[in-house]
Amino acid sequence: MSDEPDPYALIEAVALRKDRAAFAVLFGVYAPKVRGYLLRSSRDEVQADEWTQEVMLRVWRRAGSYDPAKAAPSTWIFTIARNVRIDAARKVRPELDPADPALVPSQPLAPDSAVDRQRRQHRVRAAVGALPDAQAGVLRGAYFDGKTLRQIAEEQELPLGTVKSRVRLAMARLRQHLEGT
Amino acid sequence: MTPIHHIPEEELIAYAGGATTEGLALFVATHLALCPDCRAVVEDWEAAAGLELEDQEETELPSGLLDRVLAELDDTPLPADEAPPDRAVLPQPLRGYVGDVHELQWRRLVPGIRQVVLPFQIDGTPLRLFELQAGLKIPVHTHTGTERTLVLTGGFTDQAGQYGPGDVSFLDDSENHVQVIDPGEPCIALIAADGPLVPRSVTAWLLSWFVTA
Repeated sequence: MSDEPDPYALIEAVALRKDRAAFAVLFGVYAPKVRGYLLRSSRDEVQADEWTQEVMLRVWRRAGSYDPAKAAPSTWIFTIARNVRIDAARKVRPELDPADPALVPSQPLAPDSAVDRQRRQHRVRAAVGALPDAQAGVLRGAYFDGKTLRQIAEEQELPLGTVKSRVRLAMARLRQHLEGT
Repeated sequence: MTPIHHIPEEELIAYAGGATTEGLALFVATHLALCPDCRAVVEDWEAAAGLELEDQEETELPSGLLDRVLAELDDTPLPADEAPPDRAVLPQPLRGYVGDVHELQWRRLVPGIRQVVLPFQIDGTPLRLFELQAGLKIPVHTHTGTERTLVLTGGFTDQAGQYGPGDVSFLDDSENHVQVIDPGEPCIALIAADGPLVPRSVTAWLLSWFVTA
């Protein structure tokens, strides 16, 4: 048995019993990571603290809507942190509504496909890790930091065309990598 | 039937990370509502970002942050989301901007074409909802930028193939194209195009004149 706290159980305890002790453990695990993530888009530490607070409050309030079959705890917390970052920039990111009658539903998951799913998600990350640093860096800027290619080009002092061609190369390699495994 | 013409993965990645403008995110998310395959791709990239978050270098939290959050925790449940209607034709998030089909504030452009202008642009080209009459032939034309189309009802056919609900078509300015709206029901589509039509023939020029006038 490991002493690592199990984030699934902690979120469930918050959802079902409004368990403050479980929340405090969850906070200890994720708040420092979330703050690190937020500091990637703003150097302002006071602001990052405020946003981290907001992310963790949303974790508390929305724990009841967390669906472990759909997303890992880290995925769920990432999406909350991303949305706080977007709200803080006074931007809007329209989202679909999973309960919408006009939504075309996904095929129901087969019993063992949740495991397949997890394997595939780790594979995406591994495939990014296998890319040359310059390409991985540009992709990470997009899917993790939520930066536009123009912002990435400015930060790395590269022509926009170079950044775009790195994305193209990265996508071609990823496709090869993911189809070959 | 699920869509066969998709949004490029680069744009799904940008949407997953939160880098898309409101107009592009509206276009992407409306496709996602109709496309389980692309939803799975976005979820994979969000999961990759989650793993990135797990490995994030930890920064030291200022003392008292946990106490501040604990002091704010409340036990009142969130107000429930408004229940979605029993039936809808246009999916969310688009419906939230324009209403469902019977509520649309159409403006007729030329016989057979009506539009609703949205307050967004994608890469500098205006985003609009179009209704194109069944059987309508849109003459040879080209665009000065990329034309992107998301079919919502009905369909159309051009030299690249047939496009039905949920399908996305991308055409750049090098491509002259003729689109024929499929017979049956009108085609409602979310389209970002400028010009909107740069004609290659007199009829097309006339149509273009009406459309832009």
